[in-house]
Amino acid sequence: MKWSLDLTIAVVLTVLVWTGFYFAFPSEPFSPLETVFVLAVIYGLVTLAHLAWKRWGPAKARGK
Amino acid sequence: MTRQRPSGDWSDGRSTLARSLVLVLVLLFLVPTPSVGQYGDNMIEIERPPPGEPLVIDVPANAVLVLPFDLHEVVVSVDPPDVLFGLEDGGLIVLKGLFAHLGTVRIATPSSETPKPLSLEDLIAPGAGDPGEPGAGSAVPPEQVPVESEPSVGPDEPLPPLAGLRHTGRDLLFAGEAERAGHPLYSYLLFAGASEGSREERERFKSAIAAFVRQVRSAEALERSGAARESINIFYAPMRPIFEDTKPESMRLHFAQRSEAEQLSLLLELYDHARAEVLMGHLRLSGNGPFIVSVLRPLSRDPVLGSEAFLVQDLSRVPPELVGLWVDEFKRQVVQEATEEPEHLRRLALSLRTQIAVLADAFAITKSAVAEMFEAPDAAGTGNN
Repeated sequence: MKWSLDLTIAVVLTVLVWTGFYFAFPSEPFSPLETVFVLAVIYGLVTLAHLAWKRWGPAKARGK
Repeated sequence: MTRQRPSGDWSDGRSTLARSLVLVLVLLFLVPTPSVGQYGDNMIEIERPPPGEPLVIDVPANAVLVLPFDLHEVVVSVDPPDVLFGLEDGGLIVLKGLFAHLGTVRIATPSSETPKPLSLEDLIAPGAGDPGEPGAGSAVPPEQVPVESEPSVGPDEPLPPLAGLRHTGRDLLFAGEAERAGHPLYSYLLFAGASEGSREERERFKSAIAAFVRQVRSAEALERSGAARESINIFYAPMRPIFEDTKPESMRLHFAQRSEAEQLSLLLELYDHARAEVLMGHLRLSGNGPFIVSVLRPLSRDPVLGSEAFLVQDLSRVPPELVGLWVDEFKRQVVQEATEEPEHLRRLALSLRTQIAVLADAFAITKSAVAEMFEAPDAAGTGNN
């Protein structure tokens, strides 16, 4: 379940990034390879953030 | 029991005087001096650094710089985003971030105590707008005087103001031909790589030439349409003669009459790599490029001195498919630097876009290399069978 949640967040963020860059530079949208690369990077970052939240999130939430 | 107030004129006068003095002192502390009130917290009073030592100052947007010298008394050099003032005693003032805030920063000098907006022209042609005599009594040795403070097109013609820049127009620079006078900015597309260079380098150069032909209007067409020469940043590509013993004007006309695709192939075929290398030498640029360089005077004349301002856009690491975006950015940036606050966010986005393309390419190369490593034993095995 966790990896699918991370992947969903990564896909949504990739769509946002793709659209943002498309509006900024419409003549050169991301190629399929670049899209996959961006998705991979964002997925990695989301996974890291997820792990960090799991490790330190509850303590932060309790104010410790 | 009542307390008697001391009587007498002298005591009264002394007490009033003391109260007045206290009041004046309080007022002096409370009411800011006119200069501070006028410029606010952003006023930066710059003092001369000790001889031979640097003084580094961070310059925020909307700052007012109060200088103890006039600009024509120092050697000004621009190292974006910083600006450096070299003093006669070897002292150096580094104004960090000043170049990035050029449109918002004001400057006060001994000859003009009222702060005036600092423009690029003030930096590159110091003293041009000063009422004093630039150069008279100047501490700057003649060989270090920035070249752009001299007229670039002739002894009687002043430099056209950069603020009037509105367009970028392309033109060809044929062998032995000098640049046209009267433009505020001279830009060049330079590539010194050999035609048998690496595939990616050739592709990059081809993209740069394609962007030059397709994305930049001809300077002649702009002038015909009513644009003043002083408003055009002329963008040259050096080119070898199309025909021998023919005037450049005829070759230019011949080039202009061809279709876009023909212009592209002609320029690719006859691009003057040797002259590009000479021009790159004038700027001490290393590497093959392509580079887009901008100077305030024709570059063919003399090498650029260390104190002269010039801009270089190095396209040698840009993926070929994105070169067109950088040429667009160059056109936009030149006009924005002259007219309004540059869009730093857009520039950042373009840098990020380029990095993504470069990294994605590297990612693909790594992926295919790893795939080959796994496929190779199979292929070898198949070959043996």
